[in-house]
Amino acid sequence: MSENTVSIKMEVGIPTPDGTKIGYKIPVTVEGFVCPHTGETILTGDALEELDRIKAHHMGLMPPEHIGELRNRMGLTQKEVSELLQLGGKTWTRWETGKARPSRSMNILLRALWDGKLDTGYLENIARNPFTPVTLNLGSFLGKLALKSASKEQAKNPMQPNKACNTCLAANEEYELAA
Amino acid sequence: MAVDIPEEWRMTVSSILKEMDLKHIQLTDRTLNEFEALFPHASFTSDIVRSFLPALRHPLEGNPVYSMIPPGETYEFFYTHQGIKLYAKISLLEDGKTVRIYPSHRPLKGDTL
Repeated sequence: MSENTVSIKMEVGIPTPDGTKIGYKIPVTVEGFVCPHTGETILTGDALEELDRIKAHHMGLMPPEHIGELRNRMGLTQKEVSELLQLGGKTWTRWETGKARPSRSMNILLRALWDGKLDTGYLENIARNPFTPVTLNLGSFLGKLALKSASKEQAKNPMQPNKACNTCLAANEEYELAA
Repeated sequence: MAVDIPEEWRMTVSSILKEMDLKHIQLTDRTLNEFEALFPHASFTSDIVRSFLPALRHPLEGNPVYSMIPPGETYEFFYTHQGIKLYAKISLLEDGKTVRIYPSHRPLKGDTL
């Protein structure tokens, strides 16, 4: 321990899952030094790494060494895995080296891959094929709504004609023409 | 009165911060605490360090701070991170390889440096 090095008691704030505030704090002791001129507590390399490691652990984030191991298990280079997950050029590299941490939402994807719940082929397929939403038959949807409403109306007034059926048919026809 | 922060200083500091070699980056404990309070969801060292990069990439106005100890080339300036205006003071220490980041926080003395 160098002459200026001191033990510093700190608290690491762990954010709530929605990230809007600090949920709880973990007391830790790290080594830093106190500036003899200003009295400020200065943190450097090892201390900063330790604080980040504790925060990431309590947030449930995958540690850098596991991220590297995951890529090896997938049999991909850093460039290939970045392309697969459509990440920026150096993002994955930063995660592997601990120079940055994945977001919590990305961490869920990484965990799913780690646990073998997703496979590389499946992800490649998704990455290659654009998202195609299921076609919504608007006319039919409107028709069902109208029928529901008409049934209630008819129950109240049994002698009234069911106008909703016409509305439904018209809506369907319009939708089909537009499509 | 604010001056243009020299490009050489901006580039040197940026390259040290971008490298994220923690042997050459120093933070005060207050910096961590202030940032954590403002951005609880993103307060890893890398989040703090990288928050300065967009501002340092372009011409930037700030004030030189001459009274800093240890000596180095120090500037204070405003920058915006995640839509919040922040005050920053960064020192490039005499070795030219180490950056010390003083607390980043919301402006405490109004909108002028």
